[in-house]
Amino acid sequence: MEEVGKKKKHDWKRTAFIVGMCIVPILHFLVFYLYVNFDSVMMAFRYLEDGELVWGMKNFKVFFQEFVGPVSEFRPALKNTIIFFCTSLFVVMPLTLMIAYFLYKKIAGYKFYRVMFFLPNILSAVVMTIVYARLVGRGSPIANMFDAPAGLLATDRYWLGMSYPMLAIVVYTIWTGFGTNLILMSGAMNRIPEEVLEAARLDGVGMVRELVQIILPMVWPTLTTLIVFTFVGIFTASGPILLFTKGQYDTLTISYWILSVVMNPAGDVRYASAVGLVFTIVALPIVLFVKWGMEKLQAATEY
Amino acid sequence: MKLLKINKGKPKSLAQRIVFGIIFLLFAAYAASMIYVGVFTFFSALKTHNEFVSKMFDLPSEWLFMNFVNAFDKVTHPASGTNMVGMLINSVWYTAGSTVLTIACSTTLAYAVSKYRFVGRNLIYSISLVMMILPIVGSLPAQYKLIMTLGIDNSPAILLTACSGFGFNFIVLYGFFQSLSWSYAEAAFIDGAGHLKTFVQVMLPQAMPSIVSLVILSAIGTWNDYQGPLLYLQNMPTLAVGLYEFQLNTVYDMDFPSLFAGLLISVLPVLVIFVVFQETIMSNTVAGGLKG
Repeated sequence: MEEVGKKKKHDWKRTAFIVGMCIVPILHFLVFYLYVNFDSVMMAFRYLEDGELVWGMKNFKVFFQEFVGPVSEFRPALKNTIIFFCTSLFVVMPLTLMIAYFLYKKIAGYKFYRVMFFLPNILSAVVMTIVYARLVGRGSPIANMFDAPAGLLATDRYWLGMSYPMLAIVVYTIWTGFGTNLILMSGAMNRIPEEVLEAARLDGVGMVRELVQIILPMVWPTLTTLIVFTFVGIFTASGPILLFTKGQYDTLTISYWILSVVMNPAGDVRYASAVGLVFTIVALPIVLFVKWGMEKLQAATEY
Repeated sequence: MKLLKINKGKPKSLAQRIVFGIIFLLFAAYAASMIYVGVFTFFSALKTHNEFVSKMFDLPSEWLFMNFVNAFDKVTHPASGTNMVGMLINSVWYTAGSTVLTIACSTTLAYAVSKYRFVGRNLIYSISLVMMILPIVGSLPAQYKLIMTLGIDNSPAILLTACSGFGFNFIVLYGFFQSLSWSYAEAAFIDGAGHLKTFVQVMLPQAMPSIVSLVILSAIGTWNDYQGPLLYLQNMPTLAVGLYEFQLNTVYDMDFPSLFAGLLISVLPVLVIFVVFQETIMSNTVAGGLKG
């Protein structure tokens, strides 16, 4: 479905058109993506010595020493990042699938609920976090339930190895986390041919089998995409830490740590680049493996 | 009662009815929590400061609608002194500019790559796919450095960063143009139209539903974005940044009713746009596999 055949004479108008259509996005890509990431790698290998920039591995050495050292801020940051990642993979994703299923089955009021589940995506996180902070903050019924006089976001107490502020932010990410994925999942389910489900229904297939054996395989490509994206964000997974606690009370994450270095005029941005690079290199094989694995599974369930 | 027609006319078993009943109640509880956010914000905006502090979860004793008017003046960005009128102006140009540029760049690139054969077209498509799955963690410092070096922070020139054509929007539009027949364009060429005219007058209108839903999602995202403006528009705060820093810097003696009035005002445009275009967004946002 595109132009075919080539004219012998060079068509300058056509060339000018193609260049005009592509030049701006290509320049943007070269400057704000390719150069930025190239420079990011360069920065990781440079550090200040006696006021002069020199090349070397010092940033990485410092990072590894700190990571295994007695008091590391990265170990808890990594732990929190993994908690957020696991929440979105093992809690939000399955819940999204279930919600999409019941919306697809046209549960009473499904149009209204579809809007409600999407609402956190259109309301600014600034608004949602401020209201949420009041709801679990000082003197709120929820904070009182946990016996946390200062509020859930400002106490250091623990629940199953997670501090209350961390718990409060994890709950927030679940509460506001369905939106986009739900729309994409619903879109995939709505494209399932009606006859397939009709045939299954005539065979007396129950709800669980319908979901697991018919709907799941048919939305697998979409699910693969969403799961791969979740893994792409494995080390950038984070609640709105900036809006809630700025990393205090055991809520530091890797992406917030990098952001805080950038926002701090005295922050060592080259060190932050090195830390980012390390986590990128760790994440890359994981993403590729998951993508490969999901596509293998897809091939096995092809209908 | 159209809503009660579940399972497309087939009567359900008792077990199914129970499951649907339980899920319905859970959904209702979720919806109630969302509505509560709205009601809480609305009532808080109508109270006096003292009333908010002493009776946070009660109804306002007097409904002070003037708080919404006063908020425009009372809510100020601490560092720059910008009031909410200024923030609103910043939000509007930042959102409109970013959205138009992003979608325009994605659309032109997607059209050229999907419909014309030229050197590098496959490369552009592959790069877009690879970009989406590269788990890059720490490019923020380099990006910040570049923007400071170029000196495009604190000015509308920051919109240069929005001219991105690669990525998610590109993939969606590429898929759309791929499935759009080239014979429309051929007919236009025979009528003597040039490449640009054919694109703008014949092909583009057919892509409108997809483009509109991408525009709205992109606009909502930009309107609500706080990290970008917080880093690069410190002296030109948008509503998201202004409200965030307003509540951050005045924790001990904060004018809560003005804050909540400001928050409501800031979500109003987004809510209106979402309600109007709801169907378009829901039915035109699709993502298939990631195969390249």
